Amino acid sequence: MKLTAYRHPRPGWTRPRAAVAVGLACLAPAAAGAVLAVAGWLPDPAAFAGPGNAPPSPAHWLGTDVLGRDVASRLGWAAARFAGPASLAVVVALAVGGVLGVAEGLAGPVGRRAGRWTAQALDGVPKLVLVLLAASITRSDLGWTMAVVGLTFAPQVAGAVRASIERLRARAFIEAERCLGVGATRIVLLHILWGHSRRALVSQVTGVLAYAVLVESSLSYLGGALGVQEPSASWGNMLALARDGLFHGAWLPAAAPAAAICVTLLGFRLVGAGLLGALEDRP
Amino acid sequence: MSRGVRWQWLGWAVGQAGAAAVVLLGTSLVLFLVVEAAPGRGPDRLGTVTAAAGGPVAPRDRAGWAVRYGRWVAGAVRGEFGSSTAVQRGRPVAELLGSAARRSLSLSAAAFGLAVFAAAVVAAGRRVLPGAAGVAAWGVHLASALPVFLLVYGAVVWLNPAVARGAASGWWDAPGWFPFPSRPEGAAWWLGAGLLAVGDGFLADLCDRFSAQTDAVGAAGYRVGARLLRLPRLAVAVRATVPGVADHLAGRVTFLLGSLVVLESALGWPGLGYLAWRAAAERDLPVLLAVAVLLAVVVRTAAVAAGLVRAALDPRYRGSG
Repeated sequence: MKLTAYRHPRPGWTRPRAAVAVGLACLAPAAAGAVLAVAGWLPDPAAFAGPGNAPPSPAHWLGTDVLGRDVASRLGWAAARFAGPASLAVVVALAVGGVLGVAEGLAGPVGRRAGRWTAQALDGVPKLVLVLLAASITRSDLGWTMAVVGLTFAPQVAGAVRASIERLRARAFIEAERCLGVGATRIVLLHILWGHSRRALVSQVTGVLAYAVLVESSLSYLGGALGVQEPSASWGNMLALARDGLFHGAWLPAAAPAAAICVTLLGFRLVGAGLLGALEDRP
Repeated sequence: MSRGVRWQWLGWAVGQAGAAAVVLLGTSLVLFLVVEAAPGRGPDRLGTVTAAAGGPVAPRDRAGWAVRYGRWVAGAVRGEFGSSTAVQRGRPVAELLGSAARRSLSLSAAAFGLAVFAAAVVAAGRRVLPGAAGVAAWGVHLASALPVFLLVYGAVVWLNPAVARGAASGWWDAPGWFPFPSRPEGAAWWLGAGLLAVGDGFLADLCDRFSAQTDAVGAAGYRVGARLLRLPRLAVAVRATVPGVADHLAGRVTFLLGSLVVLESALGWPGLGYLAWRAAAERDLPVLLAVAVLLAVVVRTAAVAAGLVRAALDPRYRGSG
């Protein structure tokens, strides 16, 4: 009997692993801020805690904004407030994309074509324009806006799911499971998507999260009542509020949210790229 | 080209155009229904009955949604998208779209060209000067991690004081575009195109893709295959590289147009993006729907163009339909 050798992962530090580690380190501050806010260890983000544009002090680690509110607290609360809607975007992207991908990968010719055209129709309109439409109709409800962000990413997730199914459907272990009477749902969910495609799917999830951060901060920065509205905290509206202070030397209220946006986006991109790289790097 | 190949081409092109039309109709139907289902019972939400400029908008069309959608599509084919209900109340949407589309598409095309050129240079440089190209690639990734609105913010904050200081010191005269972003022309326009090309991860993504593609083509299999078949290596490389790159570029058009909305809104430059943002902020749904459908046409055209490139270089694709 011929035995297939078990493929051990390559030991030590590789570039993809380093990218994932650096990416997680980039995401740590935002995650820590959100946890501190939810745990109630950060002061009220809307409270006027001191003079406007005050420098950093033990009471206000990152100083205060132009209205005298604690910048560190607002950064943490913005992350905490965003976590729920961002999770909704991920759930919508995975659910809709999963259904479309399975339809494209497993259905008959008609179902396959319908799935492909639906994905193309969803992917056909620029994502941000669809998000603007949703924000306009729902009067800037962040939950709805993020649900549409997830919907616009469904074609990408569908592509990854379809590719996995097409790659694995003819493999011997899948044939064996079918012969043993294992149901199609179990094979797809457990053996194909979870067993062999989870890294690719997590990479797609990091893409959705990065785009969600980008969209939320862009809309809140641009204003026009489309993003998060004051006095609620958002990295985008913090930056917009600090815009003029920068010309008068108050750079920290602007630099802090700008750094938070950049570092978080970089973190999501590095984690996604690292996971994909690890997938290609498998022996 | 033989008659058989010509028929194969024709059949393939008709099939692609038909599929693109079906997808566009589906997209426009979904958008139409979303707008129709929007809460709030304003007068003639889609402005399908044109009113005099500045005057009151006509009352809501009472026909069924299928009839209304049919009328809207027929109007769109004739270049009529109803009239604006908020941005410029009563003004035909087609008038608003005309000049804005010209400005936005030229800006996007310039950004696209800049990004493709820079990504090609970085990818090619990896073979000639690996060290320098590696450093450049890192720089590209770091710069490209910045969102477009932050790049615009940084450019306004750092560029204007620097130019003003130089002009005050007598090093140069204040240029025509100063202060940035007063007018979308000349150096300011190119700067905007550059920011669009770099920001929101666009350039980093293209660099990664181009580099991966050149690595694949440089692999031993391609070289040996080309030598065995006595084919010019360049032709083999082009056939192996261009279709994948074209597909990828077509897929990125939707992201670039999204970044365009942010850039134009942040700079206040008139264009489709600024129009879409204002229409969304003022809940002018006829304008927003028209912009969305127009941009969907651009995205679908890019996808069909990528398919044509693939079909021209890869006969297997033509045969697959």
